Amino acid sequence: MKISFHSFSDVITNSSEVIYVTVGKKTIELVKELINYFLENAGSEKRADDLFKFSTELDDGYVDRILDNIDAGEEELLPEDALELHRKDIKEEERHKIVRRLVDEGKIDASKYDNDYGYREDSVIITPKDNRYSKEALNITGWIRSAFDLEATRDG
Amino acid sequence: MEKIVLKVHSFSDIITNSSSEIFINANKKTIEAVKTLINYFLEKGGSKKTADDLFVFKIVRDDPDDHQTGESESCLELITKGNADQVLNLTNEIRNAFDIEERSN
Repeated sequence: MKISFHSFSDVITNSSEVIYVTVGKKTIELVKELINYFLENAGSEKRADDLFKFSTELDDGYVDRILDNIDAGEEELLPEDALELHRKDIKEEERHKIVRRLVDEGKIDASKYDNDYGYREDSVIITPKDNRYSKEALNITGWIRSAFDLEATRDG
Repeated sequence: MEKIVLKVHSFSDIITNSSSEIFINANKKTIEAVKTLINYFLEKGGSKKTADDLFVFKIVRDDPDDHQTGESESCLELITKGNADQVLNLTNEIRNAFDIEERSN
């Protein structure tokens, strides 16, 4: 049986490859430029910063790994933070929010949780400043994933 | 006889590191999603205009010679109505703004 490099690569990668949309240092600035472009074309004098708050959200997989380590006693926290995370009847969603806040505050170093088989896929979240729309936050990274087809091709 | 063990994972890495390329392809559903996104920004900005009032949406295939693999990419262009010279290639904008990477396990 003869297997060409190309076919062999396809066999492997079709079953196991993942494409990641990740956030770089320039991402938020470029997203703001894009929003400003749309607003300008509509004749609006408002700018992205007038209308929206921009933030990044840590990859869910990282949050899960951090929580596993906290629960196993391998991530040291300040007593008040540990108490908050282990409150009775606390929901998982709230635990995720607390971990994200601790990472933002620099109390947990998320980069310690990097590994060589995955990729950190943080999201950019756009939240309207107007309170009437505050529940209409948009995950622009997730939007790209669903709106475009992302494909990898190889010829070797 | 000496036996050489070649790990499948490593072999895949050798191949893909040298020749893989990632494509961002736009299609009909992309146009609808982009219109929804633009309308979201315009609405929050207090504009009564919509994406369809401002832009013509066009899917174009780029030049296969621009890619190592000889494939071409379906790009989404936004042409400003009333000014056909003002064209935004949204696919390129997204590629510039975000890091899009592939990982094979």
